[in-house]
Formats: sequence, C-alpha cells, structure tokens
Amino acid sequence: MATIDKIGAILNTKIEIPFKIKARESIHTNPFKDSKFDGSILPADIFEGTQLKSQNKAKMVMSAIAGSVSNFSRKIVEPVAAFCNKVKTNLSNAFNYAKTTTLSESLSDLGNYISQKVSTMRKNAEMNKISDKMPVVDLEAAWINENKLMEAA
Amino acid sequence: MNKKISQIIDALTTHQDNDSIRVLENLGTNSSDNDIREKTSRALVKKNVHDSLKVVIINEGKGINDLSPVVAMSTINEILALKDKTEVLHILEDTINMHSSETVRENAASVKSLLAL
Repeated sequence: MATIDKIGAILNTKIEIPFKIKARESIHTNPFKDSKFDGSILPADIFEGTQLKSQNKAKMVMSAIAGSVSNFSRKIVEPVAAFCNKVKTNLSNAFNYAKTTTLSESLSDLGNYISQKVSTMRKNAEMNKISDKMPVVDLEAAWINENKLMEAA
Repeated sequence: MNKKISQIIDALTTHQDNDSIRVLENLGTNSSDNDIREKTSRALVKKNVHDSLKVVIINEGKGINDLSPVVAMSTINEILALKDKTEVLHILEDTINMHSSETVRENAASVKSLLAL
C-alpha cells in the first residue's frame, strides 16, 4: 500500500519535458514587424541574428538609401507627368476658346489692318524717296512742284 | 534750304543721265536762292564732265562768275578739290583764250592760277 502511495505521488508531480518550447518569441522574432518597405527590397541578410555587425549595418544603410532614391524618382515622375497633362489640357482649352470666341477674329482684323497700314506707309516712303534711280524728268517735275509750293507759302 | 530740293540736287549729282545737267542748270543755277545756286554749282563741278563744268566756268552770273561771293568761292573750292583736273583745266584754257567777256576771262585766269599753286 505504501508503495502504491509513493507511485501515486510520483505520478502527480509534473515532470518538465526537456524539449518543450517555453516561449516561441524568444527563439523566432519577426524581423519585418516594425518595418515599412513600400515595395523596396532589402537585400541584407536579416537571419544573421539580432545583433548586427558593423558590416551588416552599413549594408542596411545602403539598402535604405537605394530604396529611398527609388521612391524619390517614382514620386518626382508622377508630378511631372501630371504637370504636363495639365499644361496640355490648358493649351487645348485656350485654343478652343480662341477658336470659338470672336477674339480671334478681332485679332485677325487688327493684324490685317496693321499690315495694310505698314504696306501703305512703305509704298508712300518709296514714292517720296528721292534717289538717282528716278528718271530725270520725274526729278525735274518734283523740283518744279517744290518751287511752286515754296512760292505759294 | 528746302530739304526735298536738296535731295533732288543730290540725286541729280549722281545721276548717270546727262539730262540731269540741263535740269541743274535750268532750275538750280537760275534760282533766286543763294543756297540752291551754291549747291547746284558744286553738284555740277562734282560731275566733272565737259558739259557740267562749262556751265559754272563760262556763263556770266553762274558758278565762279556768280554775283554772290559765297557761291563763287564755294564753286572754286569744289574745283580745287577735284582729283582729276584735266577737263577743268582744258575749259579754263579755252575760256581765258576765247571768251568774249573780260570778267569771265579774268575769273577763269584766277582759278587757273589757284590750281597751279
């Protein structure tokens, strides 16, 4: 009986299994837990342990820089494309506005008016310009005309 | 002087047509304006051809024989400034030897003396 009691006491005591895993976190940690890579790839070997060597630290820094540069280029390209699209749209709108409104007609009329005036002025200047290319008869007539104007004045 | 007339005289000065000499003589040397006569006489000398030089040398009251000393002296200065004086010397010789007016002959002789200096 006493032997049975001893055996029962032994059975009631908890025997610790030597291969039991007490805390899973202590062995395996999630290295990406607090990281936000936004699609960037970190080529550094993260399974070498939590204590980073100086060489690995430099590798991490360089990877971060490379990722940042990649992100920067992606961020800058998008606004440029948006800006170009905006300019294109504005130009198109302005052209359509000029085409549909009477402003274009007014400018066209103004341009024709100025062109005609300049042409007339040029012709008058050429007519009034006295040169040895003119026939002597015309020069004589012009001189006589000037004499008459001077006498009348 | 009227600017347009000045331009006309300049145009006639360089004009290739010999008819320009006739216009300069008729309208320029006969003008009542001293400035026009002076400019016309200089223009005729600048042409440096027989017909134009003859106008300012042998005609009484024109060119070197003008009643205005300014016009006469200006014409003489222009003659003195000519590079080729062959034709003007030839006309002066003929004028000194053959012209009927003594005043014209004396004036021509004076100009020839100046050219010889």
